Amino acid sequence: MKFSDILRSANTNLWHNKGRTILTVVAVMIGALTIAITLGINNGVNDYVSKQVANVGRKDVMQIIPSTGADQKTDAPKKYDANRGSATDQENITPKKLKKLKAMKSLKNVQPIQDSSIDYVQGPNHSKYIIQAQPPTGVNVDLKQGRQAAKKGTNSEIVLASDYVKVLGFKSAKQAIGKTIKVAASAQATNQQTVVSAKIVGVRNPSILLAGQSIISQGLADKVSDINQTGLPAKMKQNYYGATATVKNPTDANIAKVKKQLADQGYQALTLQDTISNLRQIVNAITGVLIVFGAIALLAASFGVINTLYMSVRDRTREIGLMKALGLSRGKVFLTFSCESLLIGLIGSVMGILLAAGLGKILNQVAANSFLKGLAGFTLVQFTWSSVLLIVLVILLIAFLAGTLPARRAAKLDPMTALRYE
Amino acid sequence: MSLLTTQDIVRTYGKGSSQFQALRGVSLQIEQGESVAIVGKSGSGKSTLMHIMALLDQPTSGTITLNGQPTQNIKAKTLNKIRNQTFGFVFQQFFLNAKDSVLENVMLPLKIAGITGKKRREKALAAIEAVGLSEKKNNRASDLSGGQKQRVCIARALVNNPQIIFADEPTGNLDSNTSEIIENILFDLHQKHNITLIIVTHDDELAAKCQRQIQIKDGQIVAEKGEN
Repeated sequence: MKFSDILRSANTNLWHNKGRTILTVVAVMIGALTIAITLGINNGVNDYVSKQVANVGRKDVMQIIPSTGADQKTDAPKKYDANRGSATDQENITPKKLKKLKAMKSLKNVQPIQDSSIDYVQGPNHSKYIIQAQPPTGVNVDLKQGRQAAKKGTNSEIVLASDYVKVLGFKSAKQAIGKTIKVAASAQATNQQTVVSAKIVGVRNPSILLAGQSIISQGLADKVSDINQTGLPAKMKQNYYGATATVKNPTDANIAKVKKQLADQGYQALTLQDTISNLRQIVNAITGVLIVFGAIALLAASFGVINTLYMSVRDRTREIGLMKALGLSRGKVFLTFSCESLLIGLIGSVMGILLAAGLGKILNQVAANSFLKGLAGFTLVQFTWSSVLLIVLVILLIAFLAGTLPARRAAKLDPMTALRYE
Repeated sequence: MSLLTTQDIVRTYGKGSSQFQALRGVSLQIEQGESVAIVGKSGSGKSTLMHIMALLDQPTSGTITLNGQPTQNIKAKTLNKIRNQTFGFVFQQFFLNAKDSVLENVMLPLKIAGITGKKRREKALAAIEAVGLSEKKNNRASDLSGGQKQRVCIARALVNNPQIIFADEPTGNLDSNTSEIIENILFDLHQKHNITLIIVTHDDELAAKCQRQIQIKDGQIVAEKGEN
């Protein structure tokens, strides 16, 4: 018997009992739907987070800040430490400490983070707005327009948070690119305000990471910092709230090792991965639970497949017996029934995925208009070909395995017993 | 050389105290182109004998040779091929697939043989014509009368140009008029195409139309009539 004939006869047999087949297909479909939607959400969220971080090659950058004493478990008085005053949370990285950090063999590019505080920004409409901005170290943000701010050099550049485009008097993000705005900062010691100009090189997409922050180029950060520190005693100028550093040979094991070293010295080191890993963990936990539900649904469905095929074998005992008497081999009988279970799996999984795609579209619409409003580029449910293919293959495998029991019974059927009528 | 011979066939069912001997040493020879009736009451072992001769069942002891070849060591794959291409089967209860058309039913052995397309269709149509059912070829098997169903069965048995047709009570479910039509078709094929007919029946009239009659009782041949 040719395979095409086997397939055709499997298909015909399947639809001889429509009700039974459809119910089984629905069971498989529910499992496929649950898993597809769940994987879709997982993809969507993780894809968004990755896009936000755009951390290709920046996995090695870490932010080092002195531990804030959060590890103090008791309120008992502590002994005085020359490097650590009573106001623990105001601890800075002193030049001496910085030197020590720079001497660490596992780190390179150790750079202090200046305390650069901007008073306001002012656009073409002359309204002044306060702004939260940070230097570009270790961060590539998701851009709506333009490019990232320069990480080196002296150019004064700014990547605006998207909300600032309109309020500063620009019509659109596109129009804002290349325009110059005023940035004002004042000296801590004298309160004297200085205004510098900065070129808008990019506009951010709204994001859940660094929400509302604008990014200023290293050059602008240096200028603002200079203004801030004008008139300060030299000793205070060189105190930094933190530092960034690049880990040499940044394998996960190495990064963990460096973190431990730094922790021993009283620092807290965070890579960008760390800042988002919490988010990922939550997403993965939720989707993990949902996938378990999907798997349970599939398990139940596989019993449906077994039951359907057992009934089919029983209904067609004579037919199978006849075909075997007419010379159909055991293997082909097995294949006929396996094809039936595979067809159930295929139809169920494809329908489940199509349904998931439809449902995903609706969910995305609802999400975009409600809790994800304004987060451009966040597609809640996202399907990738690989995951869709994986779901189909896994379900086919499950269906095949479920089908082997009844298919074996059919293959072993004795034609004589099947055809006996006395 | 005989087409089919059996030598001391014993077939035992069950074990221990419930053991039952369906055949107790049956030896016979069937020549190419013969028509043979195996006659006996129900429970006499005649169906078991047919199943063993048709290689659907294995004897507990004894040997069968087909075209001079002993069959006990034939592999399953070859056995399937022999049953498909050398034998044709006609059953009392037809065993047609009720939901399929006449054509589909007749094509079944060809499908199993792996023949496809035009050739399959042509061979099946020729077999349907040989039993005079060309007009009904697209009807569903369930819509046919008993006699027509049995003609479909004969067409199905015929479609692979077999050497032997095994007919198990081919007229057992039919009235006498229809029986006659079926008998005529079978003997016609037997004569025209030199097909060997082995008919299991308890109908003496049908048996009398065969060249030889072999009487089975309690698993043994008790009488043999006709030329050999």
